[in-house]
Amino acid sequence: MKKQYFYKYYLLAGLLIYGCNKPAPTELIQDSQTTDDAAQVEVITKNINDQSYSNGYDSTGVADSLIGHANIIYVSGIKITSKEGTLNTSLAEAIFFDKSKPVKVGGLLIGYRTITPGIIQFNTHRARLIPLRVRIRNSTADTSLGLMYYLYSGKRMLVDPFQYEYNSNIDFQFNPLIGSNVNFKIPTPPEITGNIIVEGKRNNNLKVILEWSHPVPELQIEIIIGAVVRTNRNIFPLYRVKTKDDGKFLIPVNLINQIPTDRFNKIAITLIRKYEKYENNGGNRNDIYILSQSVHTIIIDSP
Amino acid sequence: MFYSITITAQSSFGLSGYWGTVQKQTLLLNSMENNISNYSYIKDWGISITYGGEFSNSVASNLYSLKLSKTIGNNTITARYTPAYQKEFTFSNSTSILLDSTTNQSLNSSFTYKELFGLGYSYKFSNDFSAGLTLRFFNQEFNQEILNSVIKDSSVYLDGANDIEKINSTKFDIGANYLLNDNVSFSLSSINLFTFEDNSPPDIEAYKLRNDKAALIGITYSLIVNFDLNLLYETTNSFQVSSNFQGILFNELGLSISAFHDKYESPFIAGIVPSISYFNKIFGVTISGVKYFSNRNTKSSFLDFEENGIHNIINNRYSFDKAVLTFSLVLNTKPEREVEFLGVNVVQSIYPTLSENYINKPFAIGKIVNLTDKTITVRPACRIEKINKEKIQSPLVKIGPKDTADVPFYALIPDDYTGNKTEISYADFFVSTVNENPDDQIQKPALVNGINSWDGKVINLKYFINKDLNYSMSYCKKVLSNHKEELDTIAYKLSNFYKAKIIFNEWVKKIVYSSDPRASEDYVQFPKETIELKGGDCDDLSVLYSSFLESIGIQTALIDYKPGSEIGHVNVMFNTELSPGQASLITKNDNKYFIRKNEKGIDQVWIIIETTSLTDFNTAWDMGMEKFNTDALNNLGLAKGKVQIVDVY
Repeated sequence: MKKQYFYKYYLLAGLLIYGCNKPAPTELIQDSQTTDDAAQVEVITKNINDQSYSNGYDSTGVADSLIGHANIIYVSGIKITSKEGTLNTSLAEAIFFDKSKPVKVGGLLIGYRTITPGIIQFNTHRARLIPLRVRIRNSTADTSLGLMYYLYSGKRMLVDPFQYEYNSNIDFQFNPLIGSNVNFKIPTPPEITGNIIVEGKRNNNLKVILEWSHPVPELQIEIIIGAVVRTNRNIFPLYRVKTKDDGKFLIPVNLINQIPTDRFNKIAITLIRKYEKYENNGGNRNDIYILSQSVHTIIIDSP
Repeated sequence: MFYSITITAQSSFGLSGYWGTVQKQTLLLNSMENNISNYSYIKDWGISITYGGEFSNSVASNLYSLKLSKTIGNNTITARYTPAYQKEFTFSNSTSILLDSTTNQSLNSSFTYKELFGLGYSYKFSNDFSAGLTLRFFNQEFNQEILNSVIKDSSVYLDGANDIEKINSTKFDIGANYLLNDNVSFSLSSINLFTFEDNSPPDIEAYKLRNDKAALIGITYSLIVNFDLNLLYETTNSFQVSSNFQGILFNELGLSISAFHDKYESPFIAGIVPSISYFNKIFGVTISGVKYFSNRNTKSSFLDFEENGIHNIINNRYSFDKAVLTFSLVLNTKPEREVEFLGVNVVQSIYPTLSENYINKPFAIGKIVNLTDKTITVRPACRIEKINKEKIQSPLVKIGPKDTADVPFYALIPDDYTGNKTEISYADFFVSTVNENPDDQIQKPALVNGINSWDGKVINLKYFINKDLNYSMSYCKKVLSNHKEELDTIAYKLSNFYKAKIIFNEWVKKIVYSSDPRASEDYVQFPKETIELKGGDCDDLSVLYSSFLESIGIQTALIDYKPGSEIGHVNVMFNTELSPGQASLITKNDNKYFIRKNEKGIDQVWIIIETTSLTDFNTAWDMGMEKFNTDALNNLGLAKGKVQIVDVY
């Protein structure tokens, strides 16, 4: 009789303990009104010893490799602000890859041979042909894949007459060696001018608030958070943040706190407002990617 | 990241609905939320377990409450553990990690609100009024998964890290219950009267449980026996109405249904809580359900949550239907009370020397009610402070079901009681049934007189006469031994007369007449005291002489000249045991004796002595007989009752 009660109590206790579940939670769905600070964050530089990540970033604001596309037309208005002041530059490039001719170094695909099928003009200014340089992983030597069309006005001595007009259009003209001319306009976004407000200190209530001009809330903006190498001023684009172009963003503080100050003494934050167009005419061997962007890079001392 | 939302804390919602203030003892259904004063019918221990399930897309079962109550005297304490009193909200943060072109990792956050446990206390001031308080302990956890950047060994990657803020809070509330009559009761309680809370970061402040103060008013109306209508109103404009019937089918089934209006929920009547109970004297089992009239989804709008929030952890716009089983058990290590006092009337003061009086005549009458449905035998007892060390049992009394009876209480004065001061004392009255411990007890003041106090009734002087009988015997034997030679020469039939004469003449020489020290008739000295004090008034001297004669076997009686226009008086008469024909041996005067029948119905000669004459026996005899002849016989005092002969035995 006693055993029976014993087992009953154990059965009851077992039911109570193992039969307990947490009440079901309610999942709250984010509404459009509540996602003003919605952001996607992506790691760009996965290894800070790999110099290839810093290739070209400082001048173009383009952190991605462009070798995925067959034909690229790229125009940019770029501002770089540092302690010394702000430098305005304009850049126009056109690159046409021959996807049938890959270039590999040590088995690694670094790009394709380029072609120069005619004359390219931006706002009636004829683009020059210059070598397309790609920095091979951890190597100081550049390897030329061929030539690309190029116009640049800025700090260097060789200054082209091309000027990137914001919130306007750039006339693109292609006069092929064979066939009829191609003309179209590349729209340019409103100029973006950023400002960084730093409150607190690293690992001590640090707040990095990013503000920028002429917000276009219906667009997204890209923010590249980079670290400037103490020794050579190369910039590693560490993270890309995509968020609403609403004029203000609170940078997740962990992104800044974790940048090692012994190696990187400055932080470069790049605001990119871009118009882009992608056309795929018969497979990725003939696709065309048109990119027009307003870029402002601000370099500050690491907080 | 976060937005301003409105959350207020627990209010009056109970998982078994509201069963009103009046509830069967073994059901234990009213929760701390709607019974903040913790009013309880528990007489000793009460245990209740509520286990149930919540129906969302799946069924989540859990222990909703484990409650333990204990009553000690008029105090009841309750402890409650509520593991399933919790609500969790989860949502994806606006920040996400893009792992590659197609894979996006969201960062998730959660808000969890829990009521962990509670403590309650109530005090029963009377059968109609009780008040109490609750302390309830809450925990709120705000778990935000934040973007965490890691740069380690040259590798850079992103993941989520939890940033957890925990806030503990304690809520203190008070309440009271008042039973106006058998049909109407009221309750009044606070909601969030005081809240003690951990400090919290400013960005969490907006999401904590709100501590808005409010009042909770409850009314229970018994339409017919066991059928109650209840209303609970919160001053925040939420309310519950309920009706319950406790006593269907052999008085062992209960039904209840509650409908509630919640200011923060829709429709106007947000839901109902039906309950059905089985109960007996030991345990109760209740099945209850919560049915909401609006659709409940596991997903909801953040914006909606932001604007309206929740105001109650287990009952809010995001709560799901529930079904719970409550098992309650009442353990009485203390016996049930079967009778109780309605009152006690002390009908006479205590004169310790008149102790035998209280054996035959109750000194108090108690009015006692039988609380049971059967005829029971009641054992009354009492104890008078300063007189009794133990309880003195009175005769058993039978009382019919639900009946009320007058129960007599008798006193017993110990022989060795020596208190000589008159003072107000207290008498404790007890009434018990089958139990060893009394079912009820009550204390009343009682006047306890000193041992020399007398109630003025001559018949009660015999207690003073008997008190020092050993002393009197010793005194008389000593006196008579001094007159041995004289007595030896006297005929035996005259020995009573001469012994009485010798004794009178002996003590009368040493005594002077003196009034009572308190100038009243209610103070009587014992024989030894009179001899030692060498004085006394008529009752003291009558007691002395009667005691002397009784101690040597001479039958005495007291003649009570009742007070009329004159002051009352007492004389002693004794039986010479001479026959009427032998009266001439002691006197030739027929007016100097009185013929009375002895115990066997034989006429014998009695003579009356005025003890206050304090001269000699013959003078006292003459005076005694003269007064007797005048007042008792000639003025028909005996016939009219103005004079009474009181035999000492």
